[in-house]
Amino acid sequence: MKAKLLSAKEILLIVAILSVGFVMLALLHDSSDNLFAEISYEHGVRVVDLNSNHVFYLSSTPNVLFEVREGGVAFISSDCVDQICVRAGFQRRAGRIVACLPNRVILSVTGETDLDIFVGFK
Amino acid sequence: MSTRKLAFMGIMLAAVLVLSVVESMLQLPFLPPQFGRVGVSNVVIMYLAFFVGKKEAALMVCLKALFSLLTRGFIAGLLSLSGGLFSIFVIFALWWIIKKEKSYVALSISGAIAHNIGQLFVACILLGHWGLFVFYFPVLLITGTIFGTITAIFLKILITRLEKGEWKP
Repeated sequence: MKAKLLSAKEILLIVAILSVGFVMLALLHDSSDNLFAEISYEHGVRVVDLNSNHVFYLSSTPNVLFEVREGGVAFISSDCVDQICVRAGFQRRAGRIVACLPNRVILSVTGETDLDIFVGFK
Repeated sequence: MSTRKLAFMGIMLAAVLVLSVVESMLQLPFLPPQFGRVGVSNVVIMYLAFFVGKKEAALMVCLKALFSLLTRGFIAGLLSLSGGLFSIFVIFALWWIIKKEKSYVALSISGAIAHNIGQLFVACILLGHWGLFVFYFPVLLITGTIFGTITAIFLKILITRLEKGEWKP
């Protein structure tokens, strides 16, 4: 017996769910150029300007290193097991969020921010 | 549990662990790791759910989560458990609702999406950050659909191969 891998109804279902997903992503799309990184951690939120290249860490999680380079931001090293945050690479678009769950640090790129920009930590 | 069943579950657990470990060593091109994995080991769990029993499938989900807990820590274990349990719960609920026209593809996609949503929900609670949900919900809806379809196709291939042989659980 040779059964078909996908029936017409199943293909319809797949296309329907995929379209819902892509429409939601399109609605969330933000094409801002002037980007900031908001880093949420245990003690609050740090906002970093993505226009100046530098490497830094938060004093509460010294084992997690961030880098701002060419308008993008990334986790460049972390002491977590999975390394999903590091392998996620540089984020250069508004709306992108990467989290390091074991360290409870969330890195989100945003086009506008209501928070004060924190400068001067390394 | 009979000796035969115990041996059978041991082999199934070995298959689940080998598939998930091998998969964790691979990185798919064009897919950043934060958007999830195909989850080929879930083929085994779906096989158990559809052809062996609900209890066996639920037990396998718990054992897989225990393995994550031991090898990758508390958070990985908790996420594996929450995703896995919500996934089989949704699969069984849908299976019960649409009894007559069972589609492995539809059930597998629902299971994959439920797995993603369950994990995302727990991750958001752990971090207290719901912005994560807003961005990852559509992404995980898309990856869940694609990966759920892939695992369902693997399951179909597996079933036809098993039917050809003499092998019975």
